[in-house]
Amino acid sequence: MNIFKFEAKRLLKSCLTWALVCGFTIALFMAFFPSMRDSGIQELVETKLGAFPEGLLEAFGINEMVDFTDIIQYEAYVLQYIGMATAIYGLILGVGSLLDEEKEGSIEFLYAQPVSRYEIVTYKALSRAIVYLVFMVIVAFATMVISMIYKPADLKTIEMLIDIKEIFIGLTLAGYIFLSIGLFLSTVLKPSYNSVAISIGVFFISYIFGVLSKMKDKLDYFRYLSPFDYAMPMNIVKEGWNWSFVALGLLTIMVSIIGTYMIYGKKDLWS
Amino acid sequence: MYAIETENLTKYYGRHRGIIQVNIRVNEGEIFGFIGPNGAGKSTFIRTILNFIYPTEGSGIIFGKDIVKESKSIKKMIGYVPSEVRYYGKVKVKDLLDYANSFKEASDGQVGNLMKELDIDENKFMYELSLGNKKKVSIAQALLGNPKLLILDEPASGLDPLMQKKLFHLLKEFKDAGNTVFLSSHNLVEVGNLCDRVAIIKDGRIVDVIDLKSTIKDFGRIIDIEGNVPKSFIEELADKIILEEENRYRFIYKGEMDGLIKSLSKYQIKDLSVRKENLEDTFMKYYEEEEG
Repeated sequence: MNIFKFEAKRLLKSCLTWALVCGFTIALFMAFFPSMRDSGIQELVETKLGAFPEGLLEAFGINEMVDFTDIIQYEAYVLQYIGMATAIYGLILGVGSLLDEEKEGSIEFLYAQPVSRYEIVTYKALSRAIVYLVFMVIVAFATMVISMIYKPADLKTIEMLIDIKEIFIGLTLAGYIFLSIGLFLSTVLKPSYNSVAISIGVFFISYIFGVLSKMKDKLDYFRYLSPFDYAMPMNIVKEGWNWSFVALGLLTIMVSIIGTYMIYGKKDLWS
Repeated sequence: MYAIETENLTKYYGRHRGIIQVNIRVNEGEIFGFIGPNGAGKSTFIRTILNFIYPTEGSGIIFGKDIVKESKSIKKMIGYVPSEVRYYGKVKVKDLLDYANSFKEASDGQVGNLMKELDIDENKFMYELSLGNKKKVSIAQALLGNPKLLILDEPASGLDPLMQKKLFHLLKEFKDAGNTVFLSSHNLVEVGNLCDRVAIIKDGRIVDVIDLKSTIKDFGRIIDIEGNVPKSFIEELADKIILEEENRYRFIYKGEMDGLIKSLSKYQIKDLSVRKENLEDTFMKYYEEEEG
């Protein structure tokens, strides 16, 4: 448990920084919402967006025309970009879990203590999972508070909050998938790699698979390679959950964690 | 029961040699030195017995426990000081020692006592510390929880002479309390002053294990001589000729000095120096023999 506490304490500062930046960005985007609603921008957006090919629109998460005057749809659109950041943060937490400590050399300190490799992995994964949850709860709470400010009078508060909650459950699931993939990568990558660069690279490679899947029907199965697409905010708001993606996501988490334990228990510390 | 016992302990990194069939027995209550040049396999041996890396072949036991299967319980009984202290940079010294203490269940106040004894500033961040101060933190964390065995890899590097003296004093006290020290070092004076026995490793293999007390007792003198002295005369005198050039010799002499001086007086001597043989000579001798 001491590893858990030590790790959580070390990660808290970066968690709050990420939450602050995400919250601030959401506030900034939401500040534009009243003007979206009032000045006939929707008509303008529809005209402009209508000129784009459908595949391209889908690639940007605008598969059906987004109603920017609807606060939930507007929010879902904004949150899919925030979701990229939250997914990358999940990856950074995962990849950095063991890799950063090997890079810094502090892993020797930990290995010299009376603690097994399995305990190290367990507490490190657990601390990161909890820190990530705290981060997502803060961002979700901030989103709810900000949305209350701009909520149209005709929309029931509870309905809006439930939709935001659903979006964040989806983003948290995607984040956990990336975190577990990152955790697995941290057991196989050499410490010379930069965990942040790896995280950004992995996210965008998977994201590009998602984009390609939407641009060509033949490449539809590429969607499975993009965990971010498993719980796209706009899809959740408009179509609800895709349970096969949820199952695939949970399976990915399970396989990554099992793989992490199997490899980490047997691996040599890098020289 | 031995504190450390290995049997044919071997480690290869892929095709590269780490250590080959290392057999070492460290008695409880002794200070055991481990010396060898860079790349000889000293750190690989330590990392293997600490289970940082897995042996390719062979086995090892520390206080009767298997180094691979029972590594966790072994670490409850040992303290480790790495050659290069790379701890969490953004953590304060006090927090780091408290963290180490949380694993070792040391008695109340031990952290404070060690910080005082080793003159450690608890409020500094690890990244702010000099090499020597980092070493002090590492020594303090290793001593937490009263371990039975200390494994030290170049513990004195970076320490000022005063702190080195304090460390040696601490190690002697630690030994006098019935504990064991495994000391890997390049510093032969340090090893000579502290250790009961020394293992010499070269190219991954143990070349020899020396009992220092009996070896030091057997030490002769190193004679450097330049002059018109016949080789047959030197061969008669020398226990071992180390260097032989034109009219110049270096050899180990174990007889009486008076006899040497008197017998040399017959010859024309240009230069003569005499000094006591030390551990470094023994150490170098082993390597030169091997290379020869």
